Amino acid sequence: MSFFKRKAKSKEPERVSDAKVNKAPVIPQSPSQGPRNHNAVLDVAGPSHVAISAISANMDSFARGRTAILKKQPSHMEAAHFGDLGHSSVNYQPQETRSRMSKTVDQVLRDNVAMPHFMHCMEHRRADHLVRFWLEAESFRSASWSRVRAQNLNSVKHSSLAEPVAIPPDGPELDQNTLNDVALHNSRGNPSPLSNRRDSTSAETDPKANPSRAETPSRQAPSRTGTPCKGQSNSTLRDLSDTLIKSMEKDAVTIFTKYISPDAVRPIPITEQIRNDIVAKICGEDGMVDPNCFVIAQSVVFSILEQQHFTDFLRSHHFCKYQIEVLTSGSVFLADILFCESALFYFSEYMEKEEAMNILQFWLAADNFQNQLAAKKGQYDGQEAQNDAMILYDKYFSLQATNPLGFGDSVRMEIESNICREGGPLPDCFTTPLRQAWTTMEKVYLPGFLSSNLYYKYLSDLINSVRGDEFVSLGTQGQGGPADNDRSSSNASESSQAQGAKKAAIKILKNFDEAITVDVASLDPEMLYQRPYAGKMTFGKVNELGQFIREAEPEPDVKKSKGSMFSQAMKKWVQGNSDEAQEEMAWKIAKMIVNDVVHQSNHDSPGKSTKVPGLPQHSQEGCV
Amino acid sequence: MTAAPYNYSYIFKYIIIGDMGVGKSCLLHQFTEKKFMADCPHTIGVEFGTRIMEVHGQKVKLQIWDTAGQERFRAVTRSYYRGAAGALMVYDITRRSTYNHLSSWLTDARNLTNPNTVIILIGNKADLEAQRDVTYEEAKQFAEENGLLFLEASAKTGENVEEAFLEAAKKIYQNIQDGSLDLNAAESGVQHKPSAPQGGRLNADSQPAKEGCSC
Repeated sequence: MSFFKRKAKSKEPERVSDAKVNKAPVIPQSPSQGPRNHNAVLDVAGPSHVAISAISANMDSFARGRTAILKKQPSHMEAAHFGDLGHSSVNYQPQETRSRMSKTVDQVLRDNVAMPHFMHCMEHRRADHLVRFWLEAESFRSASWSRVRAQNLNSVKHSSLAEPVAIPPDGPELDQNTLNDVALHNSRGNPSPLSNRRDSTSAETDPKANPSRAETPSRQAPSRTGTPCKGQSNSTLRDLSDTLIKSMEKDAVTIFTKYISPDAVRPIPITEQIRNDIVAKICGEDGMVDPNCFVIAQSVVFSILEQQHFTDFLRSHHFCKYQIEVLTSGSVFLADILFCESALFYFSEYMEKEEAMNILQFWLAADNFQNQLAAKKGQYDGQEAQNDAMILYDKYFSLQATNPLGFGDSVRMEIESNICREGGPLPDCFTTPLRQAWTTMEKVYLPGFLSSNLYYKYLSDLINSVRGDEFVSLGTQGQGGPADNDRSSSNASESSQAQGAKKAAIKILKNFDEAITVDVASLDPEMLYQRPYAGKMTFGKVNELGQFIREAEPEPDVKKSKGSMFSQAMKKWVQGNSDEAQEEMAWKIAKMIVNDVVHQSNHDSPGKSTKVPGLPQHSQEGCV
Repeated sequence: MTAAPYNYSYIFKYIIIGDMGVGKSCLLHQFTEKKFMADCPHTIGVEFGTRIMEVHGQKVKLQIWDTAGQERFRAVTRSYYRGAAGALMVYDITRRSTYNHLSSWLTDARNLTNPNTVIILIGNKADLEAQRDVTYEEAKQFAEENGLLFLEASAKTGENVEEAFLEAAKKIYQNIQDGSLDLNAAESGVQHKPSAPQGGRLNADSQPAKEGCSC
């Protein structure tokens, strides 16, 4: 009987915990248990304005009839479900409208976190020179434009230096000093950064000089004194522009020699025409390097990266490593989950377990609706958009909704007015409920998901993907350098060998699964609970003294070993130990009783005549 | 939705694609609820359905993403193609235009899903034999030429609906067994639960792990 009692006691805590667990899902269920009315059937076919008016009137009548119920249930649901978030003034602006887990080529090339992984992937594919070229060309273009702007600023400065000189000449009659100033002004104002213009300027100066000399031969000396200043200004400006031009030209030539020249170690695959165009832009007739000289080549390389390499990068372990880096950074946002297909796969499973799939469904559908409407930039069919919006309304907001979310009357009325707007609904007609759904998922469900088994399973899958691909990579590297002469055949052999390596990797992974299965099975509480029960089925026996001996002697050892691993087993072991102690005490008591019986039998024997010889011996011992 | 206990070994992600009005949502509803929706509003963006079925003795949960067929939603629904283990490409046997557009849908599916994705071609509305516009042989040949599974079904009568989903699931399971589908990859569209049936919910699952951590 004690065994049964112990079992019952041990079961009770589990029942209590089960009850607690069962209570938890009740709260998420509340929005889905909103009011339902199947009496009225809305016309699902595209409702016209008249129909919409009729529907609104119909809703008003229903609203009156259910005022009390609605006042209670919506506020209760909102209070329980959204707290004060449903009425907060926070704008619906997700921190990111794109997930860091889903990247485009452009995003990867500008992301310092993702770029190293992409570079590693391209190195494995022996195409890293494409990425390097794109990055260096982009840096060159940015730097070149900066230099061009700097050069223009210098020109402006030089012009401003000449400005004050023009102010002094005021009167119609010029004295000698004024005449000298005019001469300086002419000499300084004429020079420009372009050498061609300098030549024309010098040509223009000569006719002016001739008349002045003819008119005033005695003033030749002042003119000569002005020449040194002019020379200094020109040389300074020329030095600056020459430095900039040489620097740009040097950078351009470096990139050309490294990636574009036919003699380059690893040239990028561009046509001869593009190459000639680049040469023409670098060695321009005016001596200036075009900052956009590499733009066409960049677009060609970008297309190659996007079409031939990026899809494989997204499926490679390099991208998985990047995803693991993001997911284990400790700052995962809801946008990282909702805008990433693989993460959404696990999150939707979690939301279904929490019986909150309606919220996620609504957010996905409404977000898709608003996105496709916004993409049209105002050029859309208002009636068609209204039909789409009415489908969402009928499903989630109507008083007869098939999947009501429990939004309040104010939200529903806002949506009604947004949908029935003249000219059709705007792309932001569901912004308020979208914000509330987003906030609910972010505050209520995201923390649970990030600490759930599904999330750890997701991370585990990513890690296993990295391992699997690394096996494949090792197999590929083991081949050594393939022959460059015939790429097609070498590629075929590489792919076949890679597949073989992949199969081997998969087999290894299956072994991992089996090991995991064993571990998980041993952790199952039910199985653990069943093992001690079997041991207690053993029967015992009674020896000649009446002592009950159990045949399950190894049992204490088993309990001890289990106790060291699990708290529940340890509790059982402690209880078992106390039971043995009680048994020992009982045995001692029995032993005392037996001794008393033996003692009494010895005392009674002297009284009987049949044992007279025994008496003298006993009395003798007593005398001694 | 299905309220079955969480007692399954795998989760397969499916997508349903095809022109508008071919019956994608009705197929999903017939499969998950075993009922036909006569007045079915068109899908906005994407919808979601699940059901657990048995494949080769293993319980498999199908996570089915039903996409909108309207051209205006095509750009936004493409983002849900990635990571699908199975794709149901549906056309209407009474409307040849829906059959003619299959090449475009197939191109999208090939470009946006994994190479190992199992694609099954479904000719829906098989009960409307009198209005048939595409012959079985013609579609069968198209499927064979493109390496697709093929079935004609009727969401209205329920004919072959279960078989369509089951056929694709069997193919996916076979790919897992022979190693061509790496079920441990996060992008494979398959979740593997290599554990004994669990009676408790998520909170109960976390307790053994905690006890393990306390060792």
